[in-house]
Amino acid sequence: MASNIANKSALTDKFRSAASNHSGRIHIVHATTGWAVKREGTMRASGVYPTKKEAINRAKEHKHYRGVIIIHKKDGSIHRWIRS
Amino acid sequence: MSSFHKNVFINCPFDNDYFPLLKSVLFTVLFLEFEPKIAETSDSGASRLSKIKHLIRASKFSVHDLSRVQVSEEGLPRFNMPFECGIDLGARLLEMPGMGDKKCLILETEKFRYQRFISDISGNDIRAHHDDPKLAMKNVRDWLNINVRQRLTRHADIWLVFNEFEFDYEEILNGEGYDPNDINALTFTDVIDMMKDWIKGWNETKGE
Repeated sequence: MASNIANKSALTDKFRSAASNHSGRIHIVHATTGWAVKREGTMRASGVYPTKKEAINRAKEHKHYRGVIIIHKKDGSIHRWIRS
Repeated sequence: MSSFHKNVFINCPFDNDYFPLLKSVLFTVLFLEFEPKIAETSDSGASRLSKIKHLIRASKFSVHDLSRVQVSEEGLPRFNMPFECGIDLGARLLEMPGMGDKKCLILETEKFRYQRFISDISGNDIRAHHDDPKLAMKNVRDWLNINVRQRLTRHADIWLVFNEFEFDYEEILNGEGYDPNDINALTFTDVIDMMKDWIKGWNETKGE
Protein backbone atom coordinates (compact mmCIF):
# COMPACT_ATOMS: atom_id res chain seq x y z
CA MET A 1 0.00 0.00 0.00
CA ALA A 2 1.35 3.42 -0.94
CA SER A 3 2.40 5.80 1.81
CA ASN A 4 0.09 8.75 2.43
CA ILE A 5 2.97 10.92 3.63
CA ALA A 6 4.03 13.74 1.31
CA ASN A 7 7.73 13.54 2.16
CA LYS A 8 8.39 10.18 3.75
CA SER A 9 12.18 10.34 3.72
CA ALA A 10 12.10 13.65 5.64
CA LEU A 11 9.86 12.07 8.25
CA THR A 12 11.94 8.92 8.64
CA ASP A 13 15.02 11.17 8.98
CA LYS A 14 13.26 12.92 11.87
CA PHE A 15 12.79 9.58 13.61
CA ARG A 16 16.42 8.63 13.17
CA SER A 17 17.56 12.03 14.32
CA ALA A 18 15.22 11.99 17.35
CA ALA A 19 16.56 8.58 18.40
CA SER A 20 20.15 9.84 18.20
CA ASN A 21 19.47 13.11 19.99
CA HIS A 22 19.47 12.33 23.70
CA SER A 23 18.68 15.69 25.23
CA GLY A 24 19.19 14.72 28.84
CA ARG A 25 15.53 13.83 29.24
CA ILE A 26 14.69 11.28 31.88
CA HIS A 27 11.72 8.94 31.47
CA ILE A 28 9.56 7.44 34.21
CA VAL A 29 8.37 4.10 32.85
CA HIS A 30 6.07 1.47 34.32
CA ALA A 31 7.99 -1.72 35.10
CA THR A 32 6.91 -5.09 36.44
CA THR A 33 8.01 -4.23 39.97
CA GLY A 34 7.26 -0.49 40.08
CA TRP A 35 8.34 2.66 38.24
CA ALA A 36 11.69 2.78 36.44
CA VAL A 37 13.92 5.84 36.00
CA LYS A 38 15.60 5.76 32.61
CA ARG A 39 17.85 8.27 30.88
CA GLU A 40 17.40 8.57 27.10
CA GLY A 41 19.82 6.51 25.02
CA THR A 42 20.54 3.95 27.72
CA MET A 43 19.52 0.31 27.77
CA ARG A 44 18.91 -0.11 31.48
CA ALA A 45 17.02 1.76 34.18
CA SER A 46 19.09 3.53 36.82
CA GLY A 47 16.57 2.34 39.40
CA VAL A 48 13.07 0.98 39.95
CA TYR A 49 10.90 2.43 42.74
CA PRO A 50 7.59 1.33 44.27
CA THR A 51 5.70 4.54 43.43
CA LYS A 52 5.68 6.99 40.55
CA LYS A 53 6.21 9.87 43.00
CA GLU A 54 9.37 8.31 44.42
CA ALA A 55 10.66 7.63 40.88
CA ILE A 56 10.13 11.31 39.96
CA ASN A 57 11.99 12.47 43.07
CA ARG A 58 14.91 10.15 42.26
CA ALA A 59 14.93 11.34 38.64
CA LYS A 60 15.45 14.91 39.87
CA GLU A 61 18.53 13.72 41.76
CA HIS A 62 19.92 11.88 38.71
CA LYS A 63 23.39 13.07 37.76
CA HIS A 64 22.23 13.52 34.14
CA TYR A 65 19.06 15.42 35.06
CA ARG A 66 18.72 18.49 32.81
CA GLY A 67 15.32 19.74 33.94
CA VAL A 68 12.99 17.58 31.82
CA ILE A 69 11.18 14.45 32.98
CA ILE A 70 8.75 12.51 30.78
CA ILE A 71 6.19 10.47 32.68
CA HIS A 72 4.63 7.55 30.82
CA LYS A 73 1.33 5.77 31.29
CA LYS A 74 1.32 2.04 31.95
CA ASP A 75 0.79 1.38 28.21
CA GLY A 76 3.91 3.36 27.27
CA SER A 77 2.16 6.47 25.95
CA ILE A 78 2.91 9.90 27.42
CA HIS A 79 1.10 10.97 30.59
CA ARG A 80 2.78 14.35 31.15
CA TRP A 81 6.02 16.35 31.19
CA ILE A 82 7.75 17.98 34.13
CA ARG A 83 10.00 20.93 33.27
CA SER A 84 11.90 22.94 35.82
CA MET B 1 20.12 -16.64 6.74
CA SER B 2 17.19 -16.51 4.29
CA SER B 3 14.44 -13.93 4.76
CA PHE B 4 12.01 -16.81 5.54
CA HIS B 5 13.82 -17.42 8.84
CA LYS B 6 13.56 -13.74 9.81
CA ASN B 7 10.00 -12.97 8.69
CA VAL B 8 7.20 -12.74 11.25
CA PHE B 9 3.64 -12.67 9.91
CA ILE B 10 1.53 -10.45 12.17
CA ASN B 11 -2.20 -11.24 12.11
CA CYS B 12 -3.96 -8.89 14.47
CA PRO B 13 -6.85 -6.41 14.77
CA PHE B 14 -6.52 -2.99 13.17
CA ASP B 15 -8.29 -0.54 15.44
CA ASN B 16 -7.32 2.31 17.74
CA ASP B 17 -7.96 0.32 20.92
CA TYR B 18 -5.49 -2.32 19.78
CA PHE B 19 -2.90 0.14 18.40
CA PRO B 20 -0.76 0.31 21.62
CA LEU B 21 -0.47 -3.51 21.56
CA LEU B 22 0.31 -3.57 17.84
CA LYS B 23 3.08 -0.97 18.21
CA SER B 24 4.57 -2.97 21.08
CA VAL B 25 4.56 -6.20 19.05
CA LEU B 26 6.00 -4.54 15.92
CA PHE B 27 8.72 -2.78 17.93
CA THR B 28 9.73 -6.04 19.64
CA VAL B 29 10.03 -7.89 16.33
CA LEU B 30 12.09 -5.08 14.78
CA PHE B 31 14.29 -4.49 17.84
CA LEU B 32 15.21 -8.19 17.82
CA GLU B 33 16.16 -7.85 14.13
CA PHE B 34 13.24 -9.79 12.69
CA GLU B 35 11.05 -8.50 9.87
CA PRO B 36 7.32 -8.00 10.53
CA LYS B 37 5.00 -8.90 7.66
CA ILE B 38 1.57 -7.35 7.88
CA ALA B 39 -1.31 -7.09 5.41
CA GLU B 40 -2.54 -3.54 4.91
CA THR B 41 -6.27 -3.43 5.61
CA SER B 42 -7.53 -1.36 2.71
CA ASP B 43 -6.74 -3.86 -0.04
CA SER B 44 -9.66 -5.46 -1.87
CA GLY B 45 -11.01 -8.80 -0.60
CA ALA B 46 -9.54 -11.10 -3.26
CA SER B 47 -6.10 -9.52 -3.35
CA ARG B 48 -6.00 -9.39 0.46
CA LEU B 49 -6.42 -13.16 0.76
CA SER B 50 -3.82 -13.71 -1.93
CA LYS B 51 -1.46 -11.38 -0.07
CA ILE B 52 -2.03 -13.27 3.18
CA LYS B 53 -1.19 -16.55 1.45
CA HIS B 54 2.04 -14.98 0.22
CA LEU B 55 2.91 -13.60 3.69
CA ILE B 56 2.25 -17.00 5.33
CA ARG B 57 4.45 -18.75 2.79
CA ALA B 58 7.22 -16.17 3.23
CA SER B 59 7.28 -16.26 7.06
CA LYS B 60 8.72 -18.90 9.35
CA PHE B 61 7.12 -17.15 12.33
CA SER B 62 3.51 -16.07 12.83
CA VAL B 63 1.78 -14.11 15.59
CA HIS B 64 -2.01 -14.38 15.65
CA ASP B 65 -3.93 -12.24 18.13
CA LEU B 66 -7.42 -13.62 18.80
CA SER B 67 -8.18 -11.24 21.68
CA ARG B 68 -10.67 -9.23 19.63
CA VAL B 69 -12.82 -12.18 18.58
CA GLN B 70 -15.81 -10.65 20.31
CA VAL B 71 -19.46 -10.13 19.48
CA SER B 72 -19.98 -6.64 18.07
CA GLU B 73 -22.91 -4.28 18.71
CA GLU B 74 -24.58 -5.87 15.68
CA GLY B 75 -24.31 -9.27 17.38
CA LEU B 76 -21.64 -10.61 15.01
CA PRO B 77 -18.12 -11.81 15.87
CA ARG B 78 -14.96 -10.51 14.19
CA PHE B 79 -13.61 -13.55 12.44
CA ASN B 80 -10.76 -12.48 10.16
CA MET B 81 -8.07 -13.24 12.74
CA PRO B 82 -9.06 -16.87 13.47
CA PHE B 83 -9.68 -17.41 9.74
CA GLU B 84 -6.13 -16.32 8.88
CA CYS B 85 -4.77 -18.24 11.86
CA GLY B 86 -6.52 -21.34 10.45
CA ILE B 87 -4.89 -20.88 7.04
CA ASP B 88 -1.49 -20.61 8.71
CA LEU B 89 -1.97 -23.65 10.96
CA GLY B 90 -3.41 -25.53 7.98
CA ALA B 91 -0.28 -24.93 5.90
CA ARG B 92 1.76 -26.73 8.56
CA LEU B 93 -0.85 -29.35 9.39
CA LEU B 94 -1.31 -30.39 5.74
CA GLU B 95 2.48 -30.59 5.35
CA MET B 96 2.69 -28.03 2.56
CA PRO B 97 6.24 -27.97 1.10
CA GLY B 98 8.60 -25.91 3.24
CA MET B 99 5.97 -25.21 5.89
CA GLY B 100 6.93 -27.91 8.41
CA ASP B 101 9.40 -25.62 10.16
CA LYS B 102 6.89 -22.84 10.84
CA LYS B 103 6.42 -21.53 14.38
CA CYS B 104 3.20 -19.98 15.54
CA LEU B 105 2.27 -17.87 18.58
CA ILE B 106 -1.38 -17.25 19.43
CA LEU B 107 -2.17 -14.31 21.68
CA GLU B 108 -5.33 -13.97 23.72
CA THR B 109 -6.67 -11.60 26.37
CA GLU B 110 -7.17 -14.32 28.99
CA LYS B 111 -5.38 -17.64 29.11
CA PHE B 112 -8.23 -20.06 28.41
CA ARG B 113 -10.82 -17.80 26.75
CA TYR B 114 -10.14 -19.41 23.32
CA GLN B 115 -11.46 -22.73 24.63
CA ARG B 116 -14.96 -21.25 24.60
CA PHE B 117 -14.98 -20.52 20.85
CA ILE B 118 -12.05 -22.28 19.12
CA SER B 119 -10.89 -25.18 21.29
CA ASP B 120 -9.40 -27.01 18.26
CA ILE B 121 -6.27 -24.83 18.55
CA SER B 122 -5.36 -26.40 21.94
CA GLY B 123 -1.80 -27.68 21.90
CA ASN B 124 -0.40 -24.62 20.14
CA ASP B 125 1.65 -21.95 21.91
CA ILE B 126 -1.13 -19.73 23.30
CA ARG B 127 -0.28 -16.87 25.67
CA ALA B 128 -2.41 -14.19 27.36
CA HIS B 129 -1.52 -10.48 27.27
CA HIS B 130 -4.45 -9.08 29.30
CA ASP B 131 -4.50 -6.08 26.91
CA ASP B 132 -1.15 -4.98 28.38
CA PRO B 133 1.44 -3.91 25.74
CA LYS B 134 4.26 -4.84 28.14
CA LEU B 135 2.93 -8.38 28.51
CA ALA B 136 2.38 -8.68 24.74
CA MET B 137 6.03 -7.67 24.31
CA LYS B 138 7.14 -10.30 26.85
CA ASN B 139 5.08 -13.00 25.13
CA VAL B 140 6.55 -12.26 21.70
CA ARG B 141 10.12 -11.88 22.96
CA ASP B 142 10.02 -15.06 25.07
CA TRP B 143 8.47 -17.08 22.23
CA LEU B 144 11.12 -15.89 19.74
CA ASN B 145 13.83 -16.54 22.32
CA ILE B 146 12.73 -20.19 22.65
CA ASN B 147 12.45 -20.73 18.91
CA VAL B 148 15.75 -19.20 17.80
CA ARG B 149 17.70 -20.87 20.62
CA GLN B 150 19.81 -17.81 21.31
CA ARG B 151 19.78 -15.27 24.10
CA LEU B 152 17.73 -12.29 22.96
CA THR B 153 17.51 -8.94 24.74
CA ARG B 154 15.28 -9.08 27.83
CA HIS B 155 11.74 -7.81 27.38
CA ALA B 156 12.17 -5.44 30.33
CA ASP B 157 15.01 -3.69 28.50
CA ILE B 158 13.13 -3.53 25.18
CA TRP B 159 10.15 -2.06 27.05
CA LEU B 160 12.27 0.81 28.37
CA VAL B 161 13.57 1.61 24.88
CA PHE B 162 10.05 1.30 23.42
CA ASN B 163 8.80 3.94 25.87
CA GLU B 164 11.50 6.28 24.59
CA PHE B 165 10.30 5.57 21.04
CA GLU B 166 6.70 6.28 22.07
CA PHE B 167 7.73 9.75 23.23
CA ASP B 168 9.38 10.55 19.89
CA TYR B 169 6.47 8.99 17.96
CA GLU B 170 3.94 11.26 19.69
CA GLU B 171 6.13 14.35 19.41
CA ILE B 172 6.96 13.91 15.73
CA LEU B 173 3.46 12.96 14.59
CA ASN B 174 1.87 15.78 16.56
CA GLY B 175 4.43 18.16 15.03
CA GLU B 176 3.53 16.95 11.54
CA GLY B 177 -0.22 17.31 12.11
CA TYR B 178 -1.02 13.59 12.47
CA ASP B 179 -2.93 12.04 15.36
CA PRO B 180 -0.47 9.60 17.00
CA ASN B 181 -3.36 7.61 18.50
CA ASP B 182 -5.07 7.06 15.15
CA ILE B 183 -4.08 3.71 13.68
CA ASN B 184 -4.99 5.05 10.23
CA ALA B 185 -2.84 8.19 10.44
CA LEU B 186 -0.02 6.33 8.66
CA THR B 187 0.11 3.06 6.75
CA PHE B 188 1.60 0.10 8.62
CA THR B 189 4.47 0.14 6.17
CA ASP B 190 5.12 3.75 7.22
CA VAL B 191 4.97 2.89 10.93
CA ILE B 192 7.38 -0.01 10.41
CA ASP B 193 9.78 2.21 8.43
CA MET B 194 9.66 4.91 11.17
CA MET B 195 10.43 2.28 13.79
CA LYS B 196 13.31 0.87 11.73
CA ASP B 197 14.91 4.29 11.31
CA TRP B 198 14.39 5.14 14.96
CA ILE B 199 15.96 1.85 16.14
CA LYS B 200 18.86 2.36 13.74
CA GLY B 201 19.48 5.85 15.15
CA TRP B 202 19.11 4.62 18.71
CA ASN B 203 21.55 1.72 18.21
CA GLU B 204 24.15 4.04 16.69
CA THR B 205 24.26 6.27 19.75
CA LYS B 206 23.15 4.12 22.68
CA GLY B 207 25.09 4.17 25.92
CA GLU B 208 25.22 1.80 28.84
